[in-house]
Amino acid sequence: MHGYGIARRIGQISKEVLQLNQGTLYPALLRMEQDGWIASRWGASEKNRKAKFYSITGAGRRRLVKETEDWRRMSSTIERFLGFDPGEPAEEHG
Amino acid sequence: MSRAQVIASRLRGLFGRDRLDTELDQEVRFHLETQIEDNLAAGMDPVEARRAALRSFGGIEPMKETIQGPPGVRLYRGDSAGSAVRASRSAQKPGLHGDVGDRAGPGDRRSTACHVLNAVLFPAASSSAGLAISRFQSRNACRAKRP
Repeated sequence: MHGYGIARRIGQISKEVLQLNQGTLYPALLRMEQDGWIASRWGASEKNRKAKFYSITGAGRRRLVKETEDWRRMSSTIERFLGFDPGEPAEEHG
Repeated sequence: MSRAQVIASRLRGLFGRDRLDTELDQEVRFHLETQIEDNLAAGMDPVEARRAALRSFGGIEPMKETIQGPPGVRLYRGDSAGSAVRASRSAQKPGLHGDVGDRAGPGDRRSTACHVLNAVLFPAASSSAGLAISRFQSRNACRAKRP
């Protein structure tokens, strides 16, 4: 998928809630490519224009799994704080 | 590393850097042209379509600066795989890059001359003392060439 397509997908998936400043996408793509998480190649777009296409690498997939786990752990922690009732006794562990 | 190897390495970094600039320009052009076409297809008039595309992109020069670092002397990374990418805060294989500012494009001859001069005149720039001196000299040398 090319950069413009990625920007469009982010907008679509977030139902336009995430209003991405699209120019910020390219530095991020470059950094991820430097880190080996994505690879790029030049090709022709749907309208036969020269475009750079990105794909995720094996290292990128592994990183994605780790980042997803980290995000879920963090968001569930925040969720516990938001749902915390000061009147409730704290859960005992151990 | 011999002087010749250092110069060769710096020249490789130089051309890799220019390639990165060219590729980035092509990507941005493709992005904006496609966005303008989509805006036109959505019923905008040409002026508004272009304006909206530029607005949603959010500024081309700040984006380039994020990638390239601020105008002035930069450190950049050049490797034999051709993925020469500037990393202003990276000290990996440091090389000097003098820039004449945002008015000079990647193909600008003044800018290129500074790169070549840096590569040839300051091969020992990887030492911190050499780097500091070269930084000062290259900034002033390049800026003096501004019209």
